Amino acid sequence: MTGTADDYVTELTDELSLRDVPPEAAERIVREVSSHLAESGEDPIQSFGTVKHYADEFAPRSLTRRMLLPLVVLSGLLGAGSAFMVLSGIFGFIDPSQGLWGLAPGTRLAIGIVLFGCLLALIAAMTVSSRRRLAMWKL
Amino acid sequence: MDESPWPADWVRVALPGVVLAIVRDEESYGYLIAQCLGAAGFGSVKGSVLYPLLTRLEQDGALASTWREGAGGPGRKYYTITDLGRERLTGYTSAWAHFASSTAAILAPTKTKDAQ
Repeated sequence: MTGTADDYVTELTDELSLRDVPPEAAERIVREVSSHLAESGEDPIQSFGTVKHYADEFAPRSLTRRMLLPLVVLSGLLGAGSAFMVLSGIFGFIDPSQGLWGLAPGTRLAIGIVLFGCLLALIAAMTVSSRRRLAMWKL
Repeated sequence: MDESPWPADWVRVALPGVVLAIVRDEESYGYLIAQCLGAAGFGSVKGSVLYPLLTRLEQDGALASTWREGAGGPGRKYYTITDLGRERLTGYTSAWAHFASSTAAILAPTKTKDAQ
């Protein structure tokens, strides 16, 4: 197999994994692509199209996959925001002179906990969605 | 391989039945099926069309498959037709013959139709 074909199957493996295709099914799909390319010597893009296009044939992009970057940014903001507000609340209790936007330490702590809860809910929703897609697969 | 002389839509519609017919008598694998299709005038059927179709036929229970290791290569996935696949192919063949004859009758020159 050429370097291009190797790159293609590696990318395809990653793309199918991101789309919650079970590893066993993804391996079969990728293996068949490898087999065809090894036998035909064809260019992978010419024969199978782009990796994303070919992956679409088996597993259309989930909402999580389509919104991956915004979700990563949102998770980061929720994590950083919750840690900041919780720490601010704790330091506010230790030293009442440490203020933040005129909010009482208890309020800051509560906001931090709520933000952390939102982060957990987001992760749980993504996990459940991923498990459901995995369970729906058959090959 | 040359392009198919037929419109892509025709090839797409005919492909499931034709693939079942190719593996009807003898097991085959993806690349060989593509070669058979090319030899039969279907042109170069892309992997992006053929393999998802084979997967769908397998998921539907019309085909069964088994992997055989190759010497130093990734091996081949051999497809065989199942009883359900044979049943589906019989229905497909009959429906296609009816469709083809009906279409030919309409497409035939007016004089021929008048003569009938």
